[in-house]
Amino acid sequence: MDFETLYQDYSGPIYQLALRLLRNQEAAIDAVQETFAKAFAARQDFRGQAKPSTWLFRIAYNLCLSKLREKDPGARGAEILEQSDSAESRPEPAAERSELGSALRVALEGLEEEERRLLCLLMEENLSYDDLASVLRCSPEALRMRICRARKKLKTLLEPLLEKIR
Amino acid sequence: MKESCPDIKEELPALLDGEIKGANLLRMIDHLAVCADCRLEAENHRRAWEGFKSLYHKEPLPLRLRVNPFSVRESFFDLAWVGRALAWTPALAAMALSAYLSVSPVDDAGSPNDAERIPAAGRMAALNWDKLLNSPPRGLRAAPVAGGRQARLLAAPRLGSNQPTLSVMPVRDAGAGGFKARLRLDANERGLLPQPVEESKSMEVKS
Repeated sequence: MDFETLYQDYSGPIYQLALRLLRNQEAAIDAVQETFAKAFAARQDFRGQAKPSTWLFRIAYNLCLSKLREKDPGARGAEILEQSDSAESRPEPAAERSELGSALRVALEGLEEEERRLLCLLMEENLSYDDLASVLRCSPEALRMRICRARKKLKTLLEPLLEKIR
Repeated sequence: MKESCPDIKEELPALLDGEIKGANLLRMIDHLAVCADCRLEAENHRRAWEGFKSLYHKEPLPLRLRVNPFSVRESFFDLAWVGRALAWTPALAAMALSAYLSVSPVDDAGSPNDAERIPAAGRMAALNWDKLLNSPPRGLRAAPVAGGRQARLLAAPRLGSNQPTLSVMPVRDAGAGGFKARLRLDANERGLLPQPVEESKSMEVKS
C-alpha cells in the first residue's frame, strides 16, 4: 500500500472531516496524525475488502468518536466539546459570524448528534453511500434510510430560513 | 403510469447526493419536469443542505500536516529507517571530522552516551568540507549550518528543510589527536509526527 500517495490524497479530506466532527483544530490535527499512524501500524491487517480511502475514513471516524467520548463520556459529543472549548481554539467559518450563520446554528441544535455526524460524513465527496455504509459498518439500505431521515429533519429545521439560503 | 410523489420525495436526498443512476434517474427527472410540488421539495432539500454546509467552511490544511511523513520511505513509523540511517554513522562521523578539521574547534561539554571507534576515520579525514558539500553520500544532501561548524545531512532530500535531519556535530577534542562527534537524529524536531522519534548516538573518532 502506497502510504505516501494515501497521505497526499486523503490527509486534507480527513482533516476536514475531523474538524467538522471535533470542532477543534488541535484535536483535528492530532486525529489526522493518529489516523495515519494507526493505519500504518495496521497495514498488514488491511485485506482489501474496502477501498484504502474508506478504510482510512473509518479509522478517522472511530478515532474522532473516541475523542468525543473521552471529552464527554455522556456522549452528547461535539456540542459539549464546542461549548467547553475556548473561542480561540475553534475555527470560525464566515457563515458562523454572520446573522444567517447564527440562525442556522440555532436551528440545527435540533439535530441529534448522530445525525449531525452522519451529515458531516455525507459532506465528504470522496465517499459514496456504499463507502459510508462501510465506514459506519451498517448495510447500504440502513444507511440510505438514516440519510433520508436526517435530510428530512434538516429541511424541517431550516424551513423558516430556506428563503434566505441561495 | 404517473410516479407517486411520496415515492419520488423519498428518493430526493439520494438524488441530490448523486446516488440515483440509470433508469431510476430518468424516471425521477421525468417526474420533476412535470411536478412543481416535488421540484419545490427538491429545491428546499438543496437549500437546507447548502445551509448546513455553509457552517463547515473548508479550512486550509495546517502547516503541521502539509509535509508528507511517508515521503521519506514507507517504514517511517516503525523506526526501521532510523536503523538504516544510522548505518551511515561511520561515513557521517568521518565527514564530521573532516568538517571539524577545516574549521575552528567547537567547545561543547556534551558527553557521549555511546561510543564506537571508526578505524577508517584517519583516511576519511582527508575529505574536505567542499567535497562533503559537493559529493554527499548517496541519498543524503549536505548543507552547512551554524557558520560552517556543523554538517547537516538531510536524509529526505525532496522534503526540504522541515524534515528529519541527521546532524553530525564535532563536540570536543578527545585527546591524542581524536575527536568526539555527536550524531543526533531528530525526526520530530518540528512536531511533524504523531509520536516523538528521536535517537542520539555519540562516537569517538580517531584521526
